[in-house]
Amino acid sequence: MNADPILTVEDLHLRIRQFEGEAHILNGVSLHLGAGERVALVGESGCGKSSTALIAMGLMNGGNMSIDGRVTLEGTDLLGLGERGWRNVRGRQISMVFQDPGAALNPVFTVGDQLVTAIRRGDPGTSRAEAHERAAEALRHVHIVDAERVLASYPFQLSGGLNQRILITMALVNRPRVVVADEPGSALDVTVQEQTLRLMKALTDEVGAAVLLITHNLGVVRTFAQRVYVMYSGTIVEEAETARLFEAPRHPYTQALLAAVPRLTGEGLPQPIPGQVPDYTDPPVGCRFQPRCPHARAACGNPPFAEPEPGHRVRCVLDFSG
Amino acid sequence: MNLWRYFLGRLLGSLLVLFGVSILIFGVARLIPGDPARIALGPMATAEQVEMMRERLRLNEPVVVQYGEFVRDLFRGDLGISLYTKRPVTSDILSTLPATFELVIAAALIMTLIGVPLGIVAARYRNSGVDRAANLAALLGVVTPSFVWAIFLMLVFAFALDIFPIAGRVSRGAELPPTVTGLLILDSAIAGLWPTVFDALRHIVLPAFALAMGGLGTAARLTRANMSEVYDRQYIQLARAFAYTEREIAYKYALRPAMVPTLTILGLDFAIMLGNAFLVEMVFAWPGMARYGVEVIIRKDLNGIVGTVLVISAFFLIINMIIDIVVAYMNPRIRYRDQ
Ligand SMILES: Nc1ncnc2c1ncn2[C@@H]1O[C@H](COP(=O)(O)OP(=O)(O)OP(=O)(O)O)[C@@H](O)[C@H]1O
Ligand code: SF4
Ligand SMILES: [Mg+2]
Repeated sequence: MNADPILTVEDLHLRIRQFEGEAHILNGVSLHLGAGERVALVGESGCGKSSTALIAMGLMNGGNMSIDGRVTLEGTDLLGLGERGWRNVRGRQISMVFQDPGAALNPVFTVGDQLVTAIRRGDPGTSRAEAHERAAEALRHVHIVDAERVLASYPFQLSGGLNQRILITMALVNRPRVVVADEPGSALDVTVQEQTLRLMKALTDEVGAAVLLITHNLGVVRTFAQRVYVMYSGTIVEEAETARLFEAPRHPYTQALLAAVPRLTGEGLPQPIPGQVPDYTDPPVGCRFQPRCPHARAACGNPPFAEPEPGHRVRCVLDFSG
Repeated sequence: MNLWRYFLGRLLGSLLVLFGVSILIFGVARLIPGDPARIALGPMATAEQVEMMRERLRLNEPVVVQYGEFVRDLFRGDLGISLYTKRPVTSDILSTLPATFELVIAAALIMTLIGVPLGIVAARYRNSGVDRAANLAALLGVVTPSFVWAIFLMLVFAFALDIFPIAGRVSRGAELPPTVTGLLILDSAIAGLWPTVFDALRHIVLPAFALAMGGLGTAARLTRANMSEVYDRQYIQLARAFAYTEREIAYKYALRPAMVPTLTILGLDFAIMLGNAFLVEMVFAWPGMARYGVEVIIRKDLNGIVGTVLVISAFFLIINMIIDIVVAYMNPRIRYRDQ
């Protein structure tokens, strides 16, 4: 699995100049995806998950931002790509499932128009008619029976669940190598969200695409991902195989996240994590979790990303595994 | 289909509004102080003469009856006799309105065809030099009244540089086409009189620009603002994530949603131009409705006032209807609202 990663992110930094000063949003994020691997990136709201994903898609490019580090896709350096270069990558080799189907589809164009355009940009040389046929085919494949009617509809005429399925179809129709899914379906109710993930699992399996699933819900990670990265305030604080992470979380933040997951069985209410993600313009020096960490002590400086057991890494000076 | 039903609904609404306006203006025209009959006949007329005039104008009947007769005549295309020109109001209006229309349409075209692309470019290159320059130009357009533009353009391009004619709609001695639409440029083109088309175009450039500048500025700023907002939407990010080209995003996937709110305002600007046209027409001696409109009000020419206001209202409503239909075409939410 670790043989030849298909997507690697190395020491990624994102700085945004703002009115209040420079925000150092991503502080050395590193992660990788093996071919066909399903990996989750979890963390509280505002910890930088979407920023990481958007950089990998080349969609983080405001004039007030500076990005450092390396992102490679099958060996190609993505950060150096120009507009034209990106067009050969996006939608074809790496694509994205957006969070909110109500906001991610253009309200004044039909679903068909948007799906057909996505197909044709990903596979130039496809005629409109061919692309339309492929779009209908792809919709039928995800059990949308009246595909033609759906293609002729505008997003607001369809249900949120249906639109979400369309977004997933769009992301996979050109058989990309990597799919980034930023909280897919989290704008919808829980059952639809589950269906969404099940569908993504089935489709990506079929295509052999690797998935980077972004979520702040550890609950959905267990059934979906093979490996997990836990992110806090712009850094990866823990990485492990899913089963291992749930069994023996090592970082105090991961432990707190797990304690915050509502359980069907078990004792007591979920425990929310006290405090909040620190201010990016003036982050704590050293371990950024320190202000909220129940185990913080003088020895907590700037901990390295250690690997106490193979495949399980943690950024904390102490080892709390039980 | 759906667009048709929408159109019929809007048409019915517009007719109702026109009906309301006609009642209002009919009443208001009669509230302006002064006896129209006395004003029309002058101070030398005898009381009997004035009384006879009042009879002829049916001014002694109850207003409701007057209005009923007015509506009956209206359906025959008869707006009564103008006390100012002593000719039928209908023919007065028909002889001056087309020139005003031509001017306003030309200005609307300039406003849209220059203002909207300027806004698109500014939005596409947000915060660049182009954006700032466009913003400044637009602001200048908005804050300067159209008659100031008229004088300025005339001084620079007609007097100083002598590129365009100073006044009028066409040169003296130009061969004139038979009237088809009343729009001189269009009629000349239909008749194949290309020298006249060219001459009329040269005449309309300055007044049309003077009239368009305000709307042009609004169009550019509105387009830029709405496009910028659309650019921040997730569906634009999705378009980029699926390798749509920046050009097709700008001119199609961002433009159409951005034009929905923009067009409604532009429609209003278009209609406002009809009011501003009066001043521009004065400056450029444009043979439009300006003089007539002013004179009928000063002289309390009842039929003239009512006729002029009705025609302007109808124009306003027609423009609005066209805009609404274009917006409905662009915004499927409106088209499919009642499904
Ligand atoms: N374009 C931007 N300009 C300024 N600040 C930004 C921008 N994008 C993100 N940020 C800031 O970066 C931080 C991380 O944002 P990001 O969206 O990556 O978090 P997230 O982990 O995806 O959170 P969520 O779970 O809420 O989606 C936030 O504090 C956010 O305010
Ligand atoms: S390094 Fe210290 S403060 Fe940071 S997580 Fe570990 S124990 Fe807590
Ligand atoms: Mg996010």
